[in-house]
Amino acid sequence: MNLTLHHFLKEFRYLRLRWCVLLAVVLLDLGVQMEWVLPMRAAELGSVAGVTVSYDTLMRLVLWMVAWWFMLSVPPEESGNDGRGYAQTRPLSRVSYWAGRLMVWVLLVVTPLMLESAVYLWLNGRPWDEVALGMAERAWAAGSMTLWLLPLPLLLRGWERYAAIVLVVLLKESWLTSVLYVVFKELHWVYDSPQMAMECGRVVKATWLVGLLVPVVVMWHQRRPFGMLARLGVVVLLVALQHGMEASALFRNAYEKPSDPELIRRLTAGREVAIAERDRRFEQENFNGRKYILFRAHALLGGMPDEYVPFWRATSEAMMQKGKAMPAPPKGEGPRLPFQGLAYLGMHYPMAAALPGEKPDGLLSVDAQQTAQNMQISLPQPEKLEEPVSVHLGLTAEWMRVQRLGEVPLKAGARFQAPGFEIELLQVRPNEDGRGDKAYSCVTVVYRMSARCFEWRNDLMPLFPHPCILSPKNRYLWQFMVSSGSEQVRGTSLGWCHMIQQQTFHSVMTCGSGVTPKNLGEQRLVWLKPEYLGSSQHEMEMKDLKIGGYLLKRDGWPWSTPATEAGNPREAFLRQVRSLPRPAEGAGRAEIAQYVAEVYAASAVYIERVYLGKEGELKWPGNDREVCLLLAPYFVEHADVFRAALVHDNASLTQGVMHEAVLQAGIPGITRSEKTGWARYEREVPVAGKPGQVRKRVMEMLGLAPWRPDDLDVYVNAIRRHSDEPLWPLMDGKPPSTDEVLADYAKSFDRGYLGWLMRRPDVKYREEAERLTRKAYAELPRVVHLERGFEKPLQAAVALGMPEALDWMLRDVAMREDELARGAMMQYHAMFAPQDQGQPDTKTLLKFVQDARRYSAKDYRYDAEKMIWELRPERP
Amino acid sequence: MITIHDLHKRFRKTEAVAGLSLEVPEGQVTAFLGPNGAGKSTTIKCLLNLHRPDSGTITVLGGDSRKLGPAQFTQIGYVSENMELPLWMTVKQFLDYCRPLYPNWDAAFEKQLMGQFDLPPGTKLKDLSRGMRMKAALLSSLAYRPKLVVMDEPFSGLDPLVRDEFIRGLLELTGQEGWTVFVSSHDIEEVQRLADRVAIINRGKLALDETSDSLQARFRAVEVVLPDDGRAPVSLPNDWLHAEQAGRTLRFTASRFGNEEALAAALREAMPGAAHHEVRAMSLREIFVALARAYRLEGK
Repeated sequence: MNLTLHHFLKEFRYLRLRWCVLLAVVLLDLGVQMEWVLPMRAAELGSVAGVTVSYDTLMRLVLWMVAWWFMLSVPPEESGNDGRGYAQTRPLSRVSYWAGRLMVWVLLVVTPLMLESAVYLWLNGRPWDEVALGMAERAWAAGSMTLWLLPLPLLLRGWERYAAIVLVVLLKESWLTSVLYVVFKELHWVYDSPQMAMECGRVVKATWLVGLLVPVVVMWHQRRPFGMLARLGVVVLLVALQHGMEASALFRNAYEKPSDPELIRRLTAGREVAIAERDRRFEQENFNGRKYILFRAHALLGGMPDEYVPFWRATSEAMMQKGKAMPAPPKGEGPRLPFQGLAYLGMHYPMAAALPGEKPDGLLSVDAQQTAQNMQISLPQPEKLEEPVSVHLGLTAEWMRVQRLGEVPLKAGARFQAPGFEIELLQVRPNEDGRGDKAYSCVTVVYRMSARCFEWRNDLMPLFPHPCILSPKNRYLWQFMVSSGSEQVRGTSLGWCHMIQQQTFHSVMTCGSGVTPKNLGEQRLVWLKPEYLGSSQHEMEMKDLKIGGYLLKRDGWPWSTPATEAGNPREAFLRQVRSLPRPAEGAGRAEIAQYVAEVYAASAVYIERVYLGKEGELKWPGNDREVCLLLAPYFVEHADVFRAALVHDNASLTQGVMHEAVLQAGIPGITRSEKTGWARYEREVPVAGKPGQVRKRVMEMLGLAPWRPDDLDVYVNAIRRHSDEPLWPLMDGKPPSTDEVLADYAKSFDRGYLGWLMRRPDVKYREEAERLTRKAYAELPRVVHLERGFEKPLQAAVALGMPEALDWMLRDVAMREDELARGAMMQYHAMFAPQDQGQPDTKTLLKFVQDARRYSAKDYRYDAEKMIWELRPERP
Repeated sequence: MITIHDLHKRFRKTEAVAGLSLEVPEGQVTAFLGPNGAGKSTTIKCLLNLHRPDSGTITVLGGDSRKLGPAQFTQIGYVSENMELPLWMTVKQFLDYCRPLYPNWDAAFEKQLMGQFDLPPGTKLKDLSRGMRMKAALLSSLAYRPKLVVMDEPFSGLDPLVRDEFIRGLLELTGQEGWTVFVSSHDIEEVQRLADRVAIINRGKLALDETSDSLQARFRAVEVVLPDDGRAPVSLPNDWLHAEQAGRTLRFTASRFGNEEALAAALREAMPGAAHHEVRAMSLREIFVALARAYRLEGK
């Protein structure tokens, strides 16, 4: 022991000046984390000028680099392994030598860091158990970050040590990371969340383990000395190994470990996973010349309580067509780790149903994406898209539960304090964005938050608590916010972090929300945090799936964004289409498909041409006949292209193309309607089985619907045969059976089908229609402005007389402010008007919106006969 | 004190020591000589367990060199030309550090050596001249009265005056203490005053190992004056090294000199017409140079 102490004192004598530097940096770090130096200021948050510096991260980086430099500082007479070492020929045992070096590490490196944590936590008023835990965590992290350097001076000499540090930093940050991303795809997600890069559990644990290899390497070097390149090569190898290990499944961050897997196992046992028809999205993709199908869907595990939020991942796939297995598609990059789901939850997943604690009934999320939970997986492209395939999917659901950490009234000065979480609302700025500019309906809040953030306890990582605005009276929840300003965080590695954040919520004080600058104080700012409970594995099979019928994209369907420039969109659309090079005579399918796709993309860009004015008239008079005539020649030969386009087609271009193709085909009975300009059919045809008798068949408007793509084949058949016979089943052929209507209803939730089904004398159809409706309604994400296709079950539920559905719909309508919502508004309005009343004009719709803001579901009564709602007469 | 048997040590493609066997007797100063790169330092590092031999055995102080540890190092003093000293320490701090490491450290002897070497206690080692630094290293390696002193090129780079002082000091001490000293050098002149024995290593192998006296008795420089038109015979005895003719004079080194008569007889037999010859004793340096040249020629 005497010699150990003797050696330690000698080292200390050599290192004392360097130690003063280390101590100074530790004290500076304490000053920065305590805000004695560079305090966080709310005023700086709105600034967009200048460089943003994360002092918390910067100080940690500086601290570790100085600690590394200190650890690599060894008296020259002890370093090297070429026999020049003075120390090696002195009677100092290895035990005494290493014990002395260990004392240097413990007393001069770890202890100051532990004391910094202790002082920091104590000054922040944390209880003693947290102070102890903070010190232990710091020692653990410091051990990982620095202990491996202890024997390294025996491997590296002089400048090589600093070259090694530079190598480590470069390798960790640059090319090696990129290379390893390819090998270890999970790595991307390791670093994807904030505050994780340096001391997260994976990094610390992997570094501990790899650090243990350093003495082995050094001992090897002592037996068989390495050359300089080999010595630096060993460092590169060790970094690569550490990098790979931290990305591997061997290690997990604390928050990646499920907190209650047993609960999830119990809750999910015996439940069936389902993917609703309307939630399936198939897209053709091309990866390095290899085609595959990208499948996106929203899976549901029936009957799970709302408070448990799943994040679905498709983990395996197998596709069979005619008993033949399709080759596996290229593996895409997708979320691999459970906590990636956490990142989505706060901002995007509708939290209204999952919000724990006290909340108003019928709470709706205003700004969440209902498809945020969609999983995606690559599927093989079947040889024939139109022929049925069966798809077997392996699915994993990562289950989260939202914790409500705390809340305050939405007014400056409000405070909340709990053992592990403190909040002070510093500013509430209505109608202002993050930069301080006027912004209609926005609310910008600035708050100071402190939270316990021990990595072992999974208290904070990987995401900071997420604020939402809850309007208890109006029953809306705003959860999408935009952070602005520079990052102002302190103490994230010390167990108790504090931060000043500025968040801007949009569309809060809109006309229909009921939130105004005057009543902002009645709203609540709620902080949520998701907790990862556990995972469940499931399997499901989709049989007789005709992928061709779902395809949104074909041959690289171009994405398009509606044009916003002034001018006549109809003329602009025509100009655009005329400028497109037409396929040459005898062009192949790919060229024609590309041309069609580009025309449809242009149609989507100039969608404004079909918008209606205030009186229900076209804002931009005219039609797309010229474009339809251009496409009609391809309709028959490339029907599959148009079938795919049908789903994508907002401007009913496909219907127009079909009409022109039918008109050109010279089919008996088909003429252009003078009234509408579209093709109509009228002809006297013989009655089957009754020679000499004829009957008149009439179809005023040949129809096509996205959910009945097979009708397109009927028209193609008629054109090919130049015969009207194939059209007859569409008119007055055998009416569909009730079972067929029910099956159609289960897909479309069309209100017309529902009315028909509810009038069936057989009660089983009524009950089944009601059951289907209630089930689909229950599965809807609780949001306003449901996405296309999702509003149908809501409408059906309203039509069935469900008051809670009416309440939802009214509050959805109340929040409508844009013209683009006209289509949905008309459908909603139909819930309040008999079906024969025709389309409402703009005035009617505006009054409908005003009524929705004025009245609640209680002000309406349900007419079961007409399946509509009427304002109670006693209401003004 | 040191027994080396069939020592082999290779660094990648270079065989630094190739089957060296050597005995270093107790109480004598053995000079370990050889040209640069002959394997001297590698041998010393192997015997101090700084390098691990590939094969062969080394016994130091009666034990296996591979098991040398703190207990043995309290009895071994090691000084090397390229040893990394704690240059950041003053001489006093340096000795303060060394003192507790050695149970048999002799403070009085340390004081005596300090005086003898004239070392300034308050000066940092890095500020000392090379010679003074070597003296400090020597002091730190002698003050505990080691049984064995191993020195690897201790005089390299020292100016003649310092070297002389250093050697004189060492001579006095070895004389007084009866230490076993194993000192390597590439120049015999440095150690000729010290050495009781001389071992020469060449290309990793022992080329010669005998006492200085025997060596000096065995070698003679010979000059022979040939007749006017005389030419040296094509073949001369193998033990006549480096025969060179300049005009009528033939010079060579006789490496197995017995006595004058025997040499004269051999000369008459080899060169019957020789007018006369002169024989003189050689310094160890001359002997070493002659041998080194011979080894070089062997190598070619």
